[in-house]
Amino acid sequence: MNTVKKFLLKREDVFSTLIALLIAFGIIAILLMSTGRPAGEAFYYFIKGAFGNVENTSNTISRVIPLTIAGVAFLIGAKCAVFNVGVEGQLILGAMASAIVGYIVHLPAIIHLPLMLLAGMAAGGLYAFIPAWLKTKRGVNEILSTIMLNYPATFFTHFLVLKVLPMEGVVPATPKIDATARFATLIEGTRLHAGFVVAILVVVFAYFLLNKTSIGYEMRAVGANKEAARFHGIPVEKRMITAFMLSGALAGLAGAVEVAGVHYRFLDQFSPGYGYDSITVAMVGLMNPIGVVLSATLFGALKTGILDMSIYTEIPRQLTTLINGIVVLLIASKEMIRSSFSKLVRGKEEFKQEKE
Amino acid sequence: MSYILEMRGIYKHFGEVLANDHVDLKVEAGTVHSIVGENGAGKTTLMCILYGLYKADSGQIFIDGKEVDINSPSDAIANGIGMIHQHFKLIPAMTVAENVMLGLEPRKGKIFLDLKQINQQTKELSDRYGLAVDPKALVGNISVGIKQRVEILKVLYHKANIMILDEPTALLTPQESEDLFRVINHLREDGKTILFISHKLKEIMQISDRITVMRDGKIVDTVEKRDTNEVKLARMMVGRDVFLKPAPAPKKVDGAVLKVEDVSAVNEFHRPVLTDVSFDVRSGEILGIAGIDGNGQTELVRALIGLQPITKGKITLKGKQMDHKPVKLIRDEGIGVVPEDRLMEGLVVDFNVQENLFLGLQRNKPFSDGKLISWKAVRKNADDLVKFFDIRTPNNEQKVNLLSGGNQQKIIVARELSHNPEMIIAAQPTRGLDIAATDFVHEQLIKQRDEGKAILLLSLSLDEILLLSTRIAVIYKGSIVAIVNKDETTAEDLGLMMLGGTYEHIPA
Amino acid sequence: MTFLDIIKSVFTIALVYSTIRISISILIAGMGEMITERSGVLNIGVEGVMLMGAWAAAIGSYFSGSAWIGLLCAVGVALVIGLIFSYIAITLKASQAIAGLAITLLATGLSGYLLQIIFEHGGNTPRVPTLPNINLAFLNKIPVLGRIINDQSVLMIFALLLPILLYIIFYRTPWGTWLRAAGENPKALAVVGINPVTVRYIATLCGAMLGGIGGAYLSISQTSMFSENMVAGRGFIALAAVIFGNVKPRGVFAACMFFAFMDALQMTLQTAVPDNIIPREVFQALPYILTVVILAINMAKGGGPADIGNPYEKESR
Repeated sequence: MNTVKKFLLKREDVFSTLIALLIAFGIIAILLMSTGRPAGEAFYYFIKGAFGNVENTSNTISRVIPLTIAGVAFLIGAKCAVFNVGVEGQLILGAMASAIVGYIVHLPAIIHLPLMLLAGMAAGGLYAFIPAWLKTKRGVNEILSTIMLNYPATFFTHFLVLKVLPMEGVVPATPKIDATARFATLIEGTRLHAGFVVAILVVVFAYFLLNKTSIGYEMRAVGANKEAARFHGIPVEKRMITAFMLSGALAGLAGAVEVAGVHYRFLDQFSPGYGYDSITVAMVGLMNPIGVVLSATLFGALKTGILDMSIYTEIPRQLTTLINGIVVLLIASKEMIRSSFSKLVRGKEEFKQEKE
Repeated sequence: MSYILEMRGIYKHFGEVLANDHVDLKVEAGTVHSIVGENGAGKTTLMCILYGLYKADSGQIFIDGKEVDINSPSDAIANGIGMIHQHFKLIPAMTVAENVMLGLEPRKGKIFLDLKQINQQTKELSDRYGLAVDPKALVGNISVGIKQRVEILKVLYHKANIMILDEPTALLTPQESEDLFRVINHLREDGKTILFISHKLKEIMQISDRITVMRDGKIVDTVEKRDTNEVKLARMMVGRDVFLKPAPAPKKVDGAVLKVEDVSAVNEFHRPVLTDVSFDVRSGEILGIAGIDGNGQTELVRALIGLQPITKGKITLKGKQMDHKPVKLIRDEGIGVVPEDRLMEGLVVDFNVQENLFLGLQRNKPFSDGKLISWKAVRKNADDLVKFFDIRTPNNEQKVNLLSGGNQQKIIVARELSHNPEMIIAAQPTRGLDIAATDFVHEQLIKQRDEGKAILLLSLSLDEILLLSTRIAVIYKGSIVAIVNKDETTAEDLGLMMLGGTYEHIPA
Repeated sequence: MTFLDIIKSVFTIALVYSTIRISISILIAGMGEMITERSGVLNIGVEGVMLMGAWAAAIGSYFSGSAWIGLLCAVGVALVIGLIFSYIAITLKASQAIAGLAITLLATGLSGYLLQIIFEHGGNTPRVPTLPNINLAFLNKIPVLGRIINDQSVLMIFALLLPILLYIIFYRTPWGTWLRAAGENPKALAVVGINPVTVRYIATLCGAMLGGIGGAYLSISQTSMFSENMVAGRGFIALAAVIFGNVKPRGVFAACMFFAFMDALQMTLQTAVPDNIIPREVFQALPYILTVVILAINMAKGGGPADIGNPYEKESR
């Protein structure tokens, strides 16, 4: 019994997150039923929609890709005390930059594809420099500044698409990128593309950076205790700027990968809020690269599954956002769940000991 | 004799620390009653209990002979008790009058503020006690001395008869202190009772009628001012029985490792925090820095490792210039630091044991080639240090916030000694530790000393300074006022100098 | 067209009319957020509160047949949302930013979901009864004023009185003093016996209530339906205006009017002159960019409440 208790307490954060998720889905089930929608049936169609066949599974994975990269982007910042709510804006600018490189420049694939991804990273990273500079040099709260900066990014790309760049057809979008700038489709007829590999590389990179390098260790130290980091000679502001720009660059990469793998152009308003989802994904993923993959899978499945479900069951697709909101609310209150969980486990144990 | 205030059997502990141990205090009406004691003697805790900020574990409070229940500041205010906090509880963005009236604003027709009354009443109150405060001035724009008067006005406005002043002169200039004493005398003449908390003996002798001395959470004695003097008070404050055996004399003292010459520094408000500090620390000795909290010790340590910019002076380590260099470079030259704030500066509490055991060395061999971390080396280092220093942890991947204070401190000491620095700075190295952990830290410092390291020890505990030091420097208001050999001084001498007295030898 | 012609065709009474019309929702919501922020709580979820307010107003109005009942529904729902936020941000002391983001996500999902559940189709509600507009005959006799005021929503009166009312509350009543004290230094308030937590709860709920009314204006006055995501960033504009206006009634009022004017100007320019002189996106992005600039300048000299965003911790050791 003692080992079970120890295990439960050691993985407190995992269990309290799982409990938060369970409560969230409990609330959703109640909501579904109280609005006259069958929760059981909904769940069936949801699973079927997300993983029911090769096509659906592939589509789920195609959503997991940007969510994973964006989630890691948010995580890299948060690990270094940088709360980058600007992933959305950086992602959009990254997508735009990569789309431009994708259709204006003509190069062999081996150079073209990496170049367009780099362009995306550069755009996202540079855009993140603004809030990074403001935070470290002017003491501006990065949450406020990044929220505000998401909007100009949207309007700017919108402006480029509609009024500067040439448009093919009626859809507000840039011209299509060259074939040399596209990811190969992995399974024909689905949206699953080779950007999958990029997502895996990003996760490996984040894990490697944070856990295997000196600079990653320093970034984590800054995130956990700025004062101690400074006391032990770590240049706190420099590391925060690095983390912020790296976060922005990965956000830009997420946008570029969407362009190279899914849309083959910059499509106005292509992002269904991947940038905002990245916060949920990283938080549910316990700020851990591997955790982000799992949580991105969950939220990717939610997006695909609910879309499919809404066709068969008359359950509105807005359920996705709703679930996101409830999950974030519960994760924000996780401290309470964690302490109740801890009390429960300890309490039960003590109760048992008394009986023996 | 009737007492306006009586506290009986006040008992309070914070975790393992006993802050007030059955304290009895009687205060006569219309007097200035001082409570003196070293840092951590329990004065502030006692006053916070009286003001309802802390709840005593047990004990009674009587006002005018009637028992009262004080659970919050509102209760205290209702019972005529006011407190002038050491850290002002004022709102810089509001005017003096708004601050004074906060919570009890005069109203016009129940809804609106009576702005005229607010300013007028403040003015009247200020004039009556000769406080000369402009009601319309913004608190953010006035000096520290005036801010304190605003706090006094606030308490007067709440119709307090008993006024607690918690270390009121700590932030004041000498002139401002003199002004404050005039105000206090004025208040006493008006029949107010003043509880004056301080550890500065000179001013206590100047202002008090009676004096209560506290030590280790207990009352040592309450005396009339006319029956005592600074020397007697100092002895009561610091003269506890020394039960620890002093360290054996150093084996061999060599040349200076660290040289500090005429170092000055200012804080963010441009007030001087260090003034012309000069000393050196020699190989094989422990130089103790004695002083009351807040006299520049924190800034000194930060200046030595490059965190506090210095405006003047030179710092050299083994002949190499160290001032105006980045922290990392200074530390790598061979300075180990046990910082005064264990949890904020010494450790990253969310990191595990092995991660903390190479904090600051993450780019040094053998842990890293400058880019990549060798976890093998980190693990080996942790295994070695945990064993050698007997750090009690379930495993090396335990987060350190779950360890006891003693084991946390062992981690810091182990790390700082592990890279074999020639200079060791230990700031409050045993604060909050139990006897066993304290002994451990002391042993390590003496061992390092005998290996020829230079050690700078900063401590608020005079006992610890006397126990370990070869020489002792006294710091007062950012200056080193004396450097003496341990064998040629006494606790009383040092106590006097720490409290701002001039050096004169007092036969024990 | 000469330059003068352009000026003449743009700066008309109609421009003033539409500036006020646009300002009403951000003014009410911004004033609410100002109260909340003054007490030391940063509610990034104004957007969400407004959205729920707009939704509840339309639904209430549709089913009761009375827009006033719709308005009441908006207030009720906004208070519930505000209570959830307060509990998480003030009592549980969780990150106010995360709680605010969660509120916006929740509101976006919930309003869209329930819309579809109730009407079996998404997008928007059927037409719902609206609040009356001002229509006073005597105003028409006054040349300029009549064309500006008549035909505006009755909520305009509320919106324009609100800054004055709040100015009086902030600076002329004890409650205003306590509110500001809670945002500057809650401990100073606690030592004189007033609980900062209570003050912050009340301020956050007032803020949410006004956010709800600001949202309701959009669905039962400016238009006559609720459509998905109809708040469309106005909550963030309101948030921006509060920062831009230094969290003070006059400043926030001016900022709201300025942002509304920019929006009205942009719309007028689109119809009055060939678009490509100044792209509308510049106007749309302006509030956000200006706010970031203000943040950069202000943070150094400290304009807003000193203790904003920090949970209140009781005096303890």
